[in-house]
Amino acid sequence: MATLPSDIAARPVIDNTVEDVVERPPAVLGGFGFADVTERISRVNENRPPIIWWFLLAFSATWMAILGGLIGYLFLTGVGVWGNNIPAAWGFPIVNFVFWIGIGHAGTLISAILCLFRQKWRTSINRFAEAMTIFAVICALVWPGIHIGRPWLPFWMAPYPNQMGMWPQFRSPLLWDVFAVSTYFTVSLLFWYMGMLPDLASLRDRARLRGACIASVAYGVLSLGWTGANRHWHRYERAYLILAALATPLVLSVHSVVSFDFATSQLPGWHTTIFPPYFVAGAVFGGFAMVMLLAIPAREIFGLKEVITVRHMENMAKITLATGSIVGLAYSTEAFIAWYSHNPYEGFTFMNRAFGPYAWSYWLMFSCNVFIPQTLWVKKWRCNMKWLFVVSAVVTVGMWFERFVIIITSLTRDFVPSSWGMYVPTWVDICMLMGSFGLFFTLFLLFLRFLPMVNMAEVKTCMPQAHAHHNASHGAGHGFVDQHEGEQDEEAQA
Amino acid sequence: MSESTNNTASTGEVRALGDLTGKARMLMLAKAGAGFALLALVSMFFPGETHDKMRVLGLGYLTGFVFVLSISLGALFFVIIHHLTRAGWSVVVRRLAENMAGCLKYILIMGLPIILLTAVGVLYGHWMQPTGEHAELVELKSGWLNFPFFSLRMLVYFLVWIGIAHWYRTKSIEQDTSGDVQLTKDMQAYSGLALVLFSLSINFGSMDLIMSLSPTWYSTIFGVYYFGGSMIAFFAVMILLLKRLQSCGVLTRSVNVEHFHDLGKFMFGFTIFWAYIAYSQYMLQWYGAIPEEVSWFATRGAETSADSTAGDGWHWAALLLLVCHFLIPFPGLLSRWAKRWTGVLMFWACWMLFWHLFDMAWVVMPEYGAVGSGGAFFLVVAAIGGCLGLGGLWGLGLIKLCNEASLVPEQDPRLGESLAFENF
Repeated sequence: MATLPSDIAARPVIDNTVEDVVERPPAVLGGFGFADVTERISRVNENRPPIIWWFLLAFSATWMAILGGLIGYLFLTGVGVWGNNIPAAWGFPIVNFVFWIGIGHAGTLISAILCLFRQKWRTSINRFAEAMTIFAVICALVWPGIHIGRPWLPFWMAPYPNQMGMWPQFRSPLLWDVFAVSTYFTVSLLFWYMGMLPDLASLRDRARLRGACIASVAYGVLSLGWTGANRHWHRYERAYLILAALATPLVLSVHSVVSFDFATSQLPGWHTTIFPPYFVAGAVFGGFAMVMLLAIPAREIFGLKEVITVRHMENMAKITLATGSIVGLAYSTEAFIAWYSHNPYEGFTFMNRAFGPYAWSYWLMFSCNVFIPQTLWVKKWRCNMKWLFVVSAVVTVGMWFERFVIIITSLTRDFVPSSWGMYVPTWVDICMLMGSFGLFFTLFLLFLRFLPMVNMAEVKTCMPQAHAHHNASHGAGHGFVDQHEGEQDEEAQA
Repeated sequence: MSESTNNTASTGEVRALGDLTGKARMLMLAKAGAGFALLALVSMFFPGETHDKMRVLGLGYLTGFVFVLSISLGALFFVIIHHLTRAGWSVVVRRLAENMAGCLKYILIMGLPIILLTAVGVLYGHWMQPTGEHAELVELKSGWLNFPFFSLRMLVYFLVWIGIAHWYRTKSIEQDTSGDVQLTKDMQAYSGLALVLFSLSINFGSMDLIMSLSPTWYSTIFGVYYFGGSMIAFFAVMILLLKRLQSCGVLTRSVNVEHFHDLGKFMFGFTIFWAYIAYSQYMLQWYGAIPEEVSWFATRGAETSADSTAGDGWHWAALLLLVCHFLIPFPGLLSRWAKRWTGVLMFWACWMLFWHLFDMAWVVMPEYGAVGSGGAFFLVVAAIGGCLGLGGLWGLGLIKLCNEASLVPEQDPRLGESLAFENF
């Protein structure tokens, strides 16, 4: 893993958030060479973890254990321990399901869609965003699994030939959800794992060199005999592109299908055609907020500020602002059409959301998702990590409440006032929501400790050293960092 | 043109229309003449009273209007998103997009007959003079759907669009001579605001222009549906225009197969996007089966109930749209070679442009009422006439704008990146 001497690498760059229209800003700062990148990222896995990691793990694992305990309590007692009732048969469990599925959108968007759009900066953040996706989908899958009433029969959701001649209802969007989410989970997992192979091999080789037996065997098994041969890289690139193309429609389809759960009904506030793209935009919005929420402390604690730079955070802030504004446009369009249609039930639903018993949640949602993210228009604020952290937390809260508003306000007050009701969560609901965060953070902290959190191999393709040959042969006259030659020069950094 | 001579000397290619202008103008004039003649003929011979014939004329003209508007709005979005994302590859094709967006000022003038036809009750009659069983409901909407407010809103939308298009085009042309990088920074800095204004205006503008033709129907996704079609139309026109210019010896070096490949990718992507949006809109309303919603699809022949007669004559159109707007071009454009072999790409660009036109006709023309298959066919022909006619006028405007400056942003700081661009 040699560092190529290069005048570009030696050039001191302090702030890569400055807009320079002549030259593309560098993705990695600090004059890093290839070896520095490997060293900086691998040491997270190789050194003893900082004390704060142990503290956070203990805290998260406790909540995860509480979730496990409460699931046991639920199974033994029945769904009556929740606040779900009639008319609000869908309470916290479905709110949590949609929330976590939404969170799981940023990872694949970053690795697939941004890959197709040739956004090279994604390489610093795609690995842990993908990991986050996987863990968020796991958290999401808990809810329909325990919400089915007869938790010993979840396999009935799968269509399989059986002696009862009984099949799931293919016309139900809930079944489409089973297919959409499981496909998404499978492809995301493959994408994540395949992208990790070169880095796992690096960790394997390093573990062997420092004589760490268990680590060397574990990483050895996981890296599937990767040697960095030309043929390996060629197949890796092909597979990556194909998976990116397959994953791109999945990013759109999953949350579209989740939105069908609501929009195919005739319930006011649920039945509206903007739901599929609006849910997707909302999911990307919430997902990016979660990526930032995790990346801001992670880059601080593990010393990765040169790899995950302020510019990366700024770009994510811009995507958050854009998707947040799309969500704002969708809210406004819905409200406008509710008025324009002169459909009394639609009109009532929106008045009820804004001024009814759950108005506090509606305005909380609107403030968190639309008003507060508007501060990201200001460059100074979106480059301020403390403020960005606050906004990310606010958006995460706002996106949870968006699902709460959609589900609870529509269910509790529909067409006939005599069937109206209220929904109040129980302590079990609240603790299980907290527990799902415990599960998510436990998995994420374990990932940070044992797997390479940044895609070392891909980050190197964005560094000026990967283009040394190009710059030498054409001179520096182009005035931009060429993006396409990185793929051809991969052997150099392997 | 002295500029074109300079260009040729320094870059080895022609970057202006030059001598082609006269021939292109004649072609566009002929297209406009033929289109309007076709529209007038179909309207004249369409069975019915004078008012009915006028409605055919009006709806055909409106189809042409929303068709050319979609191309220019697609171009405007392309320019804004180019600056917003600091794109490099698209610099060489950006000036053409700026010119297409610049045509919005001509489209505003083309909109005057629509205002006139609305005033005399030919267009938007359902809310201008509400009659029939839904009159009471439509009356309730008169606060939004009334002639002065409608005209005012149209004016506001167009002022926003023309303003953005004009500002970007002026700044870009200014850079051709000054080479000032600050201009690029300015264009980037205001792209966010421009995008917000664009999104709001296309969303509500398309609802006003098209959705309000049947004032009892509503769909929150409608603006996105029109946007998706607009992007297909823009990329198709861009590909055709570049190919045509190259065959006449213009832009032969700066625009190459790599740029065509990317334009093709976008056309393909938006073809899927359109299908996704169209499916979402149709499936959700079909599944919900609420009468005031499904009636819009029933009128367009897109319903599954065998005993409905509302969409008589349009069933074939609805099916054709599904097959030709998505199912056929999807595999057709999927492969890499189809986007890099520019002859094949040109075929698909023609295909998508025609089916976008057909989509606009399918959305607008059935407002005439149930007419049977033959009648529906002639209504589509009238719409084609409208699109050809207004497309010809739009082309004349485009030629005028193309002659005002080089066809490539000469001193854009990322021009080098765009010229050297390669897909891997």
